[in-house]
Amino acid sequence: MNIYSLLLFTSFLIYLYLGFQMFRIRPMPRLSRIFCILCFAFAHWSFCITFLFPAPHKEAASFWMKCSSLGWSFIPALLLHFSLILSGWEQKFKHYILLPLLYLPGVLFIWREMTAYVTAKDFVLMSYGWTGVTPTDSPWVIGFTLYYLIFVLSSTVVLYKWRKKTESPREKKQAQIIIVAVLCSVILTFINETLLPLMGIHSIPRIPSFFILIWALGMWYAITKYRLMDLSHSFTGEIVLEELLEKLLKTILENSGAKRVVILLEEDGEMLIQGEVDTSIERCKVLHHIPLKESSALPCTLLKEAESTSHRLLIDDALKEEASTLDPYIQKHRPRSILLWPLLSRGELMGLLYLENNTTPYTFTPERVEILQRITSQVIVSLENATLFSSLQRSHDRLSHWNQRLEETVKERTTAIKILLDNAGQGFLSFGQNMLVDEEYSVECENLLGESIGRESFPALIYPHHREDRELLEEMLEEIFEEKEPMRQRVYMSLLPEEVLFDERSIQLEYRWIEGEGGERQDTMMVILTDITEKREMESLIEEEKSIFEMVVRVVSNFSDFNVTIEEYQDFCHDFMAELHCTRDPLEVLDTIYRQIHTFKGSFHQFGLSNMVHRLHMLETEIKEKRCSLEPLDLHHLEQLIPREEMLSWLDESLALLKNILGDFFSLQEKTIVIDEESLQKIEEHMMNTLDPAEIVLLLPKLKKLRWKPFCEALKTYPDYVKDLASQVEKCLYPLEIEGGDMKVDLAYYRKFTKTLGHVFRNAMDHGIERPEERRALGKDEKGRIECRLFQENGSLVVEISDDGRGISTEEMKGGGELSSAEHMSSQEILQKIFEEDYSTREDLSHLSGRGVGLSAVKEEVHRLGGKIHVDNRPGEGVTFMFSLPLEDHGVRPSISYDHHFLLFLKGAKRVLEEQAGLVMERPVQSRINITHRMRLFDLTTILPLKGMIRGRLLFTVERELCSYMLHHFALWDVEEEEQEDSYNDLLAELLNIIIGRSLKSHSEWGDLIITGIGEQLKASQASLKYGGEGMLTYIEKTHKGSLGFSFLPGTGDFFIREE
Amino acid sequence: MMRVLVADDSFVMRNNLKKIFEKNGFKIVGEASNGREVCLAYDRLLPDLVTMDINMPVMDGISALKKIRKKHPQARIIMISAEGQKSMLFQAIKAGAKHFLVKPITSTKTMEVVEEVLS
Repeated sequence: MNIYSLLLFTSFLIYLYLGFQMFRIRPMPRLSRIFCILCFAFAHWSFCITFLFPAPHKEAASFWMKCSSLGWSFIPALLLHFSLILSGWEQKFKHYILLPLLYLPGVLFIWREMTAYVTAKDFVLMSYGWTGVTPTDSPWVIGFTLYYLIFVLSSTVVLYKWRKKTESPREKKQAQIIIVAVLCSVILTFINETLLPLMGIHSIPRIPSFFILIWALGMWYAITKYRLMDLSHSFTGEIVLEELLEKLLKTILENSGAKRVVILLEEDGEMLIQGEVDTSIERCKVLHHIPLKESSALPCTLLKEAESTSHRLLIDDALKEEASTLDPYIQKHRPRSILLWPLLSRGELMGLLYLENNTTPYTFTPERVEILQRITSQVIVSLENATLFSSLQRSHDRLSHWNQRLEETVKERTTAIKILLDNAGQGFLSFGQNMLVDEEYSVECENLLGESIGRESFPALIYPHHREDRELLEEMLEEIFEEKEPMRQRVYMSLLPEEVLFDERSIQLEYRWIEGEGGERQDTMMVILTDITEKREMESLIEEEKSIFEMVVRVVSNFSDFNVTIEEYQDFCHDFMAELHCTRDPLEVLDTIYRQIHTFKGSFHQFGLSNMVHRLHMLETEIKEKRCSLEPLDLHHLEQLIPREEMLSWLDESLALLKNILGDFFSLQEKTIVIDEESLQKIEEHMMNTLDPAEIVLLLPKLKKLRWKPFCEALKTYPDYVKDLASQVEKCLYPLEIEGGDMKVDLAYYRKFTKTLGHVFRNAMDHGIERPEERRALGKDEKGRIECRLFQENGSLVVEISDDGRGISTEEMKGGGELSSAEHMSSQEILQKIFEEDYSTREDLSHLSGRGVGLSAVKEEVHRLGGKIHVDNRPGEGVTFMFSLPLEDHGVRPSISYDHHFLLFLKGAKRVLEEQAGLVMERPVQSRINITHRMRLFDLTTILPLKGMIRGRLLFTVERELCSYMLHHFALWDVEEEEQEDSYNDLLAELLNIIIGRSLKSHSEWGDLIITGIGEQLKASQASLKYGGEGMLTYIEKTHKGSLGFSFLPGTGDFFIREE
Repeated sequence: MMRVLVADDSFVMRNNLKKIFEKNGFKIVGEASNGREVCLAYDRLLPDLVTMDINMPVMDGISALKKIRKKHPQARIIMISAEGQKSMLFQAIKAGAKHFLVKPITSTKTMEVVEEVLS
C-alpha cells in the first residue's frame, strides 16, 4: 500500500459518506438520487483504483481496471443528467429518449472495457505500482475522451445557461460553484491523465478519481450551503408570523421558479392576503391583511375554486388555455405558469399559496412541486404556531394600547382638572394637622391671598392682622383634627369662618374634610376660596336701590300720611324740650322720648326710609342703655343725649334722596305731590331694571295708579261744549251735570272713547231735545235736560247719557231709513241700528250731527274696549244711552318703553351674531334705530311673536347670501346642498331664539315675563313691510357678508307685505 | 316623649322655643331664666335635652353648661347664641355642648340640630 492508494481510499470513504449523507437527508427527489449515484460511482472508481496500484501482478491490475469501469464510465452521463434536472431542461426531453442517450455511451464503454480495453491496453509496474498504458491510436480512447469532453462541457453549458436564466441569486451561486468545481476537476484530470504522460513525466500516477473529489465536494457545498434541496429546520424556529412569512415566501420564490408568490391565510372565515413577494421588487411585503375580494392583482375565481375544493391547481402555460375560460386577471396579465397550492392543516384549509411565472411556461416542474410539497408540509406547523402567536400579540398590543390610552386619558383629565381648578375663579388649598398649606394649591389662591402660600400657616394667612380671630381659628382647627367623633367634628366645622375680608375683598371659605387612610395619607382639610367681593358689592348696591324705590313708591302713594309724619317729626325735633319742662321726672321724660322715637322709627319704616330707621334705631339703643345705666339723670343731660340738629339733618338727607328721584315737583309744602309724567315714566323704567318680577308686580301698579285720574275728568269739557251747542241750535237747556265719576282710571286708556261721546251729546241736542216752542206745546219744561251719570256696576264702568227729548221713533226709522226689512226686528235691534254707519233718520242734515257717522264712531270705540251699548228709548219722553265698559286693571301690566328694550335686544343680537355666526358688524347699534311704518325686507325673513311683558313681533330679515354664510359658520348641523334652502328658516328662528335668550339672560328679571311664539317664515325677496300699528322700530345693518335687519312691531297691529 | 328644658332670659325666646318643641312632639318639662336656675332645674328634672342661651344673667350659659356637665356628663345641651359669638360657641362646644343654634332660630333649623344631637 502506498500513499496514492491511501489517498484514493480516503476519497472513496468521502464519496461514500457524501452519498449516504445525501441519501439520508433527501431520499426522495431525483436530483439528490442522481447525486447519490454519482457519489457511489466516484466511490467505486476510487475504491478500485486503490487496489490497482498495489496489485500483485498484471492480471490483478487488469481486473481492478475493468472493475473500476463501472464507476468512471457513467460519471459524465450522471453529471449531465444532474445538470439537466437542476436546470429544468430535462422536461423538454422524453424519458425514453433522454435516458438511453445519456447512459448508452457508458454501457458501451463498460462492454468494451470488459471484453478488451478502453484506455489501458497494457499495465506496467512503476515505482508507485501498476499503471495502465494508453494507446494513442485506439479509436476507443479518442471516443472515450470525446465522451467525457462532450458530456462535461454540455453539463457546464447547461449549468451556465441555467445560471444566466435564473433570477434566484442562490441558484446563480450554486451553478457557479458546480461549474467551477467540475471544470477544476476536469482540468486537473486532464493534466494528470494526458498532459503529464505526454510531457514524459511518469512519476505521478493517474489518480483522476482523487481530483474528482473537488467536483463532488463542490456540488455538496452548493447543496448544503445554498440549500439546493435541503430545507429542513429552516422554519421551525420562527414564531413571529411576519418573519416566518417572509422566510417562507423567499424560500418558495427561490425554490419554485416562480416570479411572484402570494400567500393567503384564513382569518375569521375570510381569506386575507398576508404576504407577497415578487422578483421585480426587492423586498417582500407581509401582513397586508387585505381581503381577497378586494384584490385585483390575483385570479380570484381560481383562488375561490381552490379555496372551496382544497385541491392544487397547476396551469403549465396559460397562453395555451382557452382565453374565454380564464380568470379576468389572467386574461389581462397573461402569466404563463400558475400554481395554486392549498395549505392544509389536519385536512382543513388554512391558507393558499399562489405562484406565478409570467414569462416561462412549465416553470413548476415535478421537481419543484416536490420541493414545494416539502416546504409546505414543514411550514404548516410553524405557520399555525405563528398565526396563534400573532393573534396573541395583536391582543396584547391592543391591550397595551388601551392601557396606554387609559394612562393618557388619566393624565389628560388630571391636567384638565388642574386647569379647571386654576381657572375656576376659586382657590383650592389643603393643609394637614400642622395647618401649613400644602404646596399643591391652585393658582387662584395666590391671587386671593398673596404671592406664595405654600408651607404657610393657614390661620395666619386668613387673619394676618387679627390676633384673636387667628388664635380662635387655630384652636378650632386643632379641635377638628383632634376630634374623633364625626358629629362633634361637624359641629366644629360649622363654626369655622365662612367669609373673611382680605385686602378689601370678601372671600368666601368652604371647607371639606378629607379623611386620611392611615399610613402615609393623613387627615386633610381642603379649603375652597371664592372671591365674592363683586357679589357682595352688587348685593348691597341692589339692596340700596331696592330700598330707595320702595321708599319712593311708599312715600308717593301715601304722600299725605308721609307729609304728616314729616311734620310731626320736625315738630318733635324742635319742641321736645318743651315736654322736658313740663315734668320734673327725667326718667319719665326719657321714656316719653324713647316711645316717641320708637313710633317715628316705625312710621319711617313703613315709608321705607331705611336711613332714618337705622339712625333712629341707633339712637333708641343709646337711650335704652342710658336708661338702664341707672345713672342719675337731669334735664341737661337729656338735652345733650338727644341730638336734635342731627336728627333733622338725617331727615334732610332722606328728603334730598327723594327729591333727587322725584324731581323739583316734590315739595313738602304742598299737600299733594305733583310728578310730571316723564319722571314717573323714568322711575318705572328704572324700577323695571332693578327690581325682581315679584316686586315689580307688587309695586308698579301702585306707582302706575298715580297716573290715574277720576273718570269724570275725561268729561269735564262737555258741560261747556253742550252749552255752546245749545246756543248754536237755539235750544234751551239746563246746564249739563255730570254725576259721579270719582273712580280713578287710566284716562289715556279711555280717551278715544270719551272723545266720541261728543257725538252722543250732539245727537241728543240735535235729534232729541225739541225746540222750546215744541216742548211748551207738549207740556214739557221749556228747557230741555241732558244728564250724564257715571257709575260702576259689576266691574264695569257705565256712562249713562239721557235726555228728555222726543225719543226715537221706531216707526220713523222703519219707514224713513233704508230699513225695509226691519219689520221683524225687535225694537232694541232697531235702536241699535242708529249706530250703523250711513244711517240717519233726518233728512236735513245739520252741520252738527252729520248722519249716523258720529254714532258709529262711538260704537266702534265701545267695541274696541270690549263694552256694550244699551239704548233705553221712551218715545215722547226721551232716550237713555248706556255705555258699559269693562273696568280692566290694565295698568298692572307695566308699560315699557320699547326702544329701550329693542336696544338691549340688539346689543344681544350683535354679540350672538359676532360670536356664533361670524359676522362683523360695522357700527354701534345705538345710532341705527329708526321708528317707521315701512321697512325694506331682504330675501329671508322670520317673524317671531312675543307675549308677556313685551308684546309684539320681532322680525329678522337677511340677504340670502348672508344667510348661507351664517349657516356654514353656525354649523349646528350638517347641511346637504338640497336641504340648505330649508335650513335657512331654522337658522333664523334659532338665532332669534338664542338672541332673545341672551338678552333675557342679561336681564333675568324679565325672564318669566316674555314668552316667545313660533317663528313665522317669509320668503319675499325685495319686499317691504308696512306696519299698521303706531310705528315699528327698525335696525338695518350692513355686514361684510351682506345686509340684515331687525325690527320690532309693538302691539298686535296688522302688517302688510308688499312685493316690489 | 323627649323631655326638654328651655333656658333663656328672654320670655319671648322661651315661648318661641316652647312652641317649636311642642309642635314637634317634645315635652317642655321646665323653663329657666338664668344660669343658676337651669343648674338647679337640671338636677331636679334630669331632662333629655337642654337648650340654653349663651348670655344669661346671674350665671352665664357656659358656666352653667360646665357645672351641669361636671355632674351629668351625659347631658345633651344645645347652646343658643346671637350672630358673631363664634368664639363663645367654640368654648361652649369644647366644654361639652352638643350643638349650637344661632339666632334668629327657625323651626326647621332647630329640629335639624335637635335630631342630629339625639341621633
